[in-house]
Amino acid sequence: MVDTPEEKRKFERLYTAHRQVMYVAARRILRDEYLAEDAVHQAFVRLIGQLDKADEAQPARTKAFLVVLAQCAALDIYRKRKKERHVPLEQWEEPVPGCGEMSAGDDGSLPVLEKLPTGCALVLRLRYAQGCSYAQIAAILGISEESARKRASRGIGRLRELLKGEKQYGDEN
Amino acid sequence: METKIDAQCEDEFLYQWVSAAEAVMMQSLEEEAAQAPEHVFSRRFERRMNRLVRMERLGVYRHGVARARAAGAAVFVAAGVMLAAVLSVEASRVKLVEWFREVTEKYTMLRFEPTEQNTDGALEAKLPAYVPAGYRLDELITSDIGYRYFYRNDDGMEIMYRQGKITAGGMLLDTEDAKTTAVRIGEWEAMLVEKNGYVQLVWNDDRYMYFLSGNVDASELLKMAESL
Repeated sequence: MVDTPEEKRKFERLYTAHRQVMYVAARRILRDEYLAEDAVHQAFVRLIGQLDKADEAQPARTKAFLVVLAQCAALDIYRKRKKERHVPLEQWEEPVPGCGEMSAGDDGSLPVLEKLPTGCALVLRLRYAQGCSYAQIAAILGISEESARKRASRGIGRLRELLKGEKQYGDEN
Repeated sequence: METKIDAQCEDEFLYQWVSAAEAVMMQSLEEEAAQAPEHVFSRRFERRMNRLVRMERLGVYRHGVARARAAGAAVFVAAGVMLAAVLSVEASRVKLVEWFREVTEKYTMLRFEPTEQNTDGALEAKLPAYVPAGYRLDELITSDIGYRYFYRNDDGMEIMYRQGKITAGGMLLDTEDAKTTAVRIGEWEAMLVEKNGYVQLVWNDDRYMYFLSGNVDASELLKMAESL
């Protein structure tokens, strides 16, 4: 909610500080400057209802939160342009462009996350990296709470399967 | 045999593991953003964002707010038209609430202009006599322009009820692929928006604006509204 003057100033500060990295994240997915700008705009529309989640005392986390909002918006646009008919995001199995161009962390975590269905990966990031409730995730993604829970459950299940194949996690030491 | 994976795939593991993945992704993004020349956003984008920020400055209700008192008070404006340009000062003084609707692909933006008489005075709380089975009042948040009540059930499902003064401002409704229906709450017109099981109901009377939302059946929100 944006009720107080301080919240309104906060919204403007977030816009000024993070729109560039949000744009880069959206452009990676959409490969189009015009559409990437649309995604950034849509991300800020979604932020209005989630302003409390953007904790300026934790700048890195806040930036990551805004980036995931931009990626959610970009993926919505990508989905609409790619599919003539609607396909639920959680059903996506193919890697999404722009989400697979990063090097792995020391623990190898990123490549496995990239192998998850895109919709599930977004829900897991919102849930476990950003600490969002399922109600918040539902609002951000425009889905029901039940769908958000199902996506998380499906993502964890797939993650468990994928990690079993990773030596550093699968070995009992 | 129970593997280490099974144990790690609990919440604590997920918080650490997904956070680590996101940190790597953010580092990569920031490096790319730092290396690339700063993007100069288009004038179209700047106009849209300025409009959005201006809505915030006015005091935005995220979901709910006004519906015209009478059908004649409603003015629909096509996307891309500057809303302020169509509101005359004289009209805003005559009508109780003038509202404008801008529909885009993703959302509906409502902007409204109240008269002075309905922004003055203390806010008198009005609570619904009817609450869906299993829900109870769990949280109240107050501000100088309104109240927000959160009703929750044992499953963590939530209904938000909001009552506020009719102040100048606007609201954004996510209406992409949503079903929007005009309904009545008593003598007042209301807008019902349903999308993926999430229901929003917005209306106003001669004193306040009201908003109800939640993952419940639309009939339940209508019952709550009618019981005010």
